[in-house]
Amino acid sequence: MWHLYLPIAGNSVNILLIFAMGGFVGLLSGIFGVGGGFLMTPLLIMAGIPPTVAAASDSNQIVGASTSGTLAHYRLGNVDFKMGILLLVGGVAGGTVGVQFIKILRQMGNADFLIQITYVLMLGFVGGYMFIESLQSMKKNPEPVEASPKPGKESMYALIIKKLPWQTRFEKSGVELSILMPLILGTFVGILAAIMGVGGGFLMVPVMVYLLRMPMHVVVGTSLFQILFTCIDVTIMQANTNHTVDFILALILLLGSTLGAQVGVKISKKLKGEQLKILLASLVLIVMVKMLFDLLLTPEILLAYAGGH
Amino acid sequence: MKKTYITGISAILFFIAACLVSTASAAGVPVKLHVEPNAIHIGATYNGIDIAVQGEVPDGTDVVIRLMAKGEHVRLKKKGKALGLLWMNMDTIELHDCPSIFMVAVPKSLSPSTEESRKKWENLELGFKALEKQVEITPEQKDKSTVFKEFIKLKKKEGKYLTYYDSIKYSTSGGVRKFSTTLAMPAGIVAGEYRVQAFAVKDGTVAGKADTTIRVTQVGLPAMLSNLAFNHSLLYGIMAVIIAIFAGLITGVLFKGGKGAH
Repeated sequence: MWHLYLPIAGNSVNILLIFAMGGFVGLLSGIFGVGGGFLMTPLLIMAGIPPTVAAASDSNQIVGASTSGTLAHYRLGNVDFKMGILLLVGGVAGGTVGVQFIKILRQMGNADFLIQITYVLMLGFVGGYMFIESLQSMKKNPEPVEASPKPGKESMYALIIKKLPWQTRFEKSGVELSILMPLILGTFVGILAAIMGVGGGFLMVPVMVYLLRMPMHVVVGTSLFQILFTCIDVTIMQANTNHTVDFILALILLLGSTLGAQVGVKISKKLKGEQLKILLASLVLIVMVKMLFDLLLTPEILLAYAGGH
Repeated sequence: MKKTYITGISAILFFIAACLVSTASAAGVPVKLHVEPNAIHIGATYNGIDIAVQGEVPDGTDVVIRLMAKGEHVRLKKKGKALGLLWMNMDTIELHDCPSIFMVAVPKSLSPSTEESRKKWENLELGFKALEKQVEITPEQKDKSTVFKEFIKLKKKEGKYLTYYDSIKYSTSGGVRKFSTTLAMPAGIVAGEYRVQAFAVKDGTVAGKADTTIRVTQVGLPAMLSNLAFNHSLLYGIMAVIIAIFAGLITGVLFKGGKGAH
């Protein structure tokens, strides 16, 4: 009786199961400021949703979840709109470049190989770095202070970014930077996100923490604000060109994830920046290990449905 | 008045005759076939349905029931080892004229319990072996059989390709053998026509057959959403985004309300 037929996905699903998945991913989204696409899409595929529909409907769901999350973080004063908009502009530009890049790669063949390798390497690198760094700073000081594990390199980096033109103050984040910084880094994340076919939240968060040196709580709020706009764009594009957005599926996920996100924000408030970082790092590493296992173990079935068009 | 009456009767008689022709085969032994339901309406609560298949064959014959969808193109990725180490999606292959659903109910006498009955079944060419011959794979595969076996595994996992062994019930009376069986139509089907066939098998060959169709349509909410998503896709996308934002805002406001009370 808890089943519902989804016309776009072309399958029926258990409402409670989808609701619970939404709640779980929404919780993580609220805590860490990631869209959760890298978790939700595989979960939906396991529930019998075709991969393309899973990814597109998840973007639709993230629109709702990140609206709820952004609102909650905005109330706590955790959204740096100026930084968010600049990152967004860069992200859109990078995304466009990345999509073209993938098109060329697909024509040359071997795109899938590159995508999966990039995925595992990025997850491993980002997760590993965050994990070690936050572990070190947790040991060093109970109070989170700007830790610099590699002093020589860090000061070089600091010198370079200070020399960039158009320095401006980002009030909410409490940093002074050139507006080129968020633009360039946004583009960089946009390219990678397009290649990997994800929202890029799990890349954007470390970029804001380590390269833009924003405080963790503002990072989470700003990241959600940014993800909101990226996913609005993706949802409309996917619905219009590929007809892969299952709105009913998205709505059930959304009910779960908006509730989850609100709880997540509350949990996030109770945790220290370093604790947040180490938890996110662990999550990213777990996903990476799972992917690595999938790559190394002989699959049960040596065929899979081809996604996209 | 009388004339209309006679015309009416002859029309009915003609209709009955036409029905008989469509169910019984042109050549071979007579086979009667009836499916229930013969129309499936996919509404919001559709979650798969059991199809009851019944009919008659002459005494001394066996029956094989087959349900299949129309052939379509399927794009698949072959998994292979990259750098001799990492399993990932490699080449794209395309299967042509390949039904999304394929179910066969096989009687006990043709089930693979003994080598002899297994051979009999394979020689009939009504199962996956026959399907493999029908389906063309591009680009051409050296190991077509292996690839097709993997495809069957994939479909089996979804409950879309099934073989029911020894699931047909018989009862004989007056030289007629009545058969009945149930096929489970899975949840993941699309609108269209599905063909049900009954094959009368005698002495290891098909002695007669009958055909009928099950029409699957979307109704209610699924039909409305499909129409919107495929025919007014931009509007659908914008609507999906707006509703998502509102849902997000409402939950946000609700949570704030809860906090304000304390």
